[in-house]
Amino acid sequence: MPALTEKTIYKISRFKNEPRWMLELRLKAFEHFKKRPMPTWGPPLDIDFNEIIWFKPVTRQPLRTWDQVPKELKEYFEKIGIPQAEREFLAGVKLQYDSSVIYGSLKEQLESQGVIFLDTDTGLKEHEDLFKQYFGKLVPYTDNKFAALNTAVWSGGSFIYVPPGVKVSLPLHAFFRISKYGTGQFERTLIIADEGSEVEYIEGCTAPLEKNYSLHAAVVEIFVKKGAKVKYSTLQNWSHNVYNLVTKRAQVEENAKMIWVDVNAGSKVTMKYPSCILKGKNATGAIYSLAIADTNQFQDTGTKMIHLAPKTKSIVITKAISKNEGINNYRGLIHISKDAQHSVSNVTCDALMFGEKCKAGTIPVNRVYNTTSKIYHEASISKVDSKRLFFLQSRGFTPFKAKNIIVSGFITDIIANLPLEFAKEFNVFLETQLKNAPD
Amino acid sequence: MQQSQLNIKNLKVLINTDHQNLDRSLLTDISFTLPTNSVLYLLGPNGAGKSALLNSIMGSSFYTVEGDILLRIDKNFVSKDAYNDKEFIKLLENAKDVINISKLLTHQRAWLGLYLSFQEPVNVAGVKTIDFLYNMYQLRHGETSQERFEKILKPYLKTLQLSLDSLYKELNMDYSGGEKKRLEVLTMLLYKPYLLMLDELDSGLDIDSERLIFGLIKEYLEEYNLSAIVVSHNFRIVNLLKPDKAVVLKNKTVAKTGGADLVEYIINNGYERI
Repeated sequence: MPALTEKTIYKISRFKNEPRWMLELRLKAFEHFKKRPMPTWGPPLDIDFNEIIWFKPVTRQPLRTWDQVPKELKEYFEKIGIPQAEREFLAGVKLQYDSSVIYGSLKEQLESQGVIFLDTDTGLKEHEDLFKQYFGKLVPYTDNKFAALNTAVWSGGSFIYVPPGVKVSLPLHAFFRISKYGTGQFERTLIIADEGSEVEYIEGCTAPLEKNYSLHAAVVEIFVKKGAKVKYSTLQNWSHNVYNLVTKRAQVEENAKMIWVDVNAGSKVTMKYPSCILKGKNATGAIYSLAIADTNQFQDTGTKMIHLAPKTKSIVITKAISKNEGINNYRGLIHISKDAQHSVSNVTCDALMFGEKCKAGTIPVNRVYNTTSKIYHEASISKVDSKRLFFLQSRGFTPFKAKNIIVSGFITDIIANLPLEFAKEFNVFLETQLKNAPD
Repeated sequence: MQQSQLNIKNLKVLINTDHQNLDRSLLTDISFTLPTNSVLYLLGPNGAGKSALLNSIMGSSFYTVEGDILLRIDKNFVSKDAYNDKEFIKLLENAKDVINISKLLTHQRAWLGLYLSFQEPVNVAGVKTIDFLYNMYQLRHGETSQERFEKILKPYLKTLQLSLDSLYKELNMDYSGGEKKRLEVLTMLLYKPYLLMLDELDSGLDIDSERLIFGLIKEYLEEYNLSAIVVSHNFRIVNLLKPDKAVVLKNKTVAKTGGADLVEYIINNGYERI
């Protein structure tokens, strides 16, 4: 596969029949990507950019037939009870998820409320004005090397606009419907929640998915207008060769609220710090995240909460589980500016370790530039100790059940914030994750 | 001749540690029997290995044991969840009345009804006491509706002066010392053990709680004709739970075995001349 060149970018843009300004933005981003050095901090990134497939038109061949899908994956789908159509899509048997039956009525309902819900490519075609106003404004291509890469070659993702005062919950199957290019490598998601609106969005699947690519560099931009509320939940379990380098950011205006729920398992390296820029008075930003790292996995996750207005509030609850030789890092920035008087930030980052060889660390940066604001920071690292396991086993819990109960207790704050749709799936997911955890 | 509930034969207890130069042996040549329907006081000076012995009987991975721990079993006291472990059930079916538990895993010993009350109650963050109890109850006694479980709880809560609300706190966190002990007894009564091992259950209890708790335990043992091993440094409880037998550990082994009179002797003379 040839290296990425301007020619590829022209090709992508032409194929999609994009407006000129988007092509120009892509090219500028590409220039920046080439110049920008690899990050000098965080986990080692050994990425061969020559091996990346930059763009796959939808006409490519399916990865495999249903018969070729591994038995374990089929059993997993069975356990979590997702519809066959989704299974085939997820396992790479079908390229497009056909959910016309489920999606039909939802679509009508959304349209009658004035909600726009499209894949990002179609969104650009049909709502260019909104794209000109918002696209790349929160995560500019100059933000980081992988945001530049995403801007240069993005494809797929979701575009959502919710009109003022409208409340809408977009269920999981909507995610599959919208992903015209599959759960793509360079997804680009843009959400605009207009004043007083509410939207809940879910992405991902707990099934250990094999993808034929090794780099996932997505960008998510969310605009939460005055008094609006957005909850964005992600549950991802990438195969263990994937570099998952994602930039997620929300801008939160007066009296508005942004909630990130982020569960990361799988991948080789994850670098992800869903952030909130609390721009208006009384704005709230929250993140509930869980990262699970096994041998040969490095999860570098956290958040940035930037308080720019008075009486803004942020809540950070991160839980990290390291097992065998897995590594977890919490990397977080809490910034309370001079203008953000009377602001409060509550940070809890806890790590749980299975076995002697895993690692967990926290790299918090807390800055307060006024005297009326407060940051509460709590961090803990605990081991799944033999004392607790012995106690639970002496009450009749098998070693596996004992581990499960300890972990469920550890992540109780995360479970409480998971979308209901994930609940059943999450239990199966957790059990699978704990199967190879040492005693 | 009286039947034995538990028969410990030539038991050696070693502590599992990475330290090379440490003498790992804690107890050697431990042999004694616990007759059915009786209370045995396991006595000895501090550091004699009483807790280590109880923990080894429960199967703690902190220790390695050599020798036999023979338990007379009663199938009425086997956990419902045990029936999901086919190999274990096969073992149970092949055994007559007595089974050597020294190689069984902790949870399998618990399935047989062995119950150790811990000297230090263990906390589990994020897990509500009520959820722990409900899970435990169902593993032991089979599926039970939440409603029915609360009905079962009620009289126990009343007797133990615990509120249902207090069970919504995290397991063994934010409870007072006395509450933790009463929770332990609640857990025990819900579990319905077959053989009780009480490791200083009385420590830190006021005199009224002591009477209440040991009264309940006595009642329970008498109702089902069960046996208990008691470790305590507080001889007031001797009057609440009368000893039938006493075993004194000293110098890493059984120094003396006797009846109620041996307990009486130690109350008066200490361990020095044993």
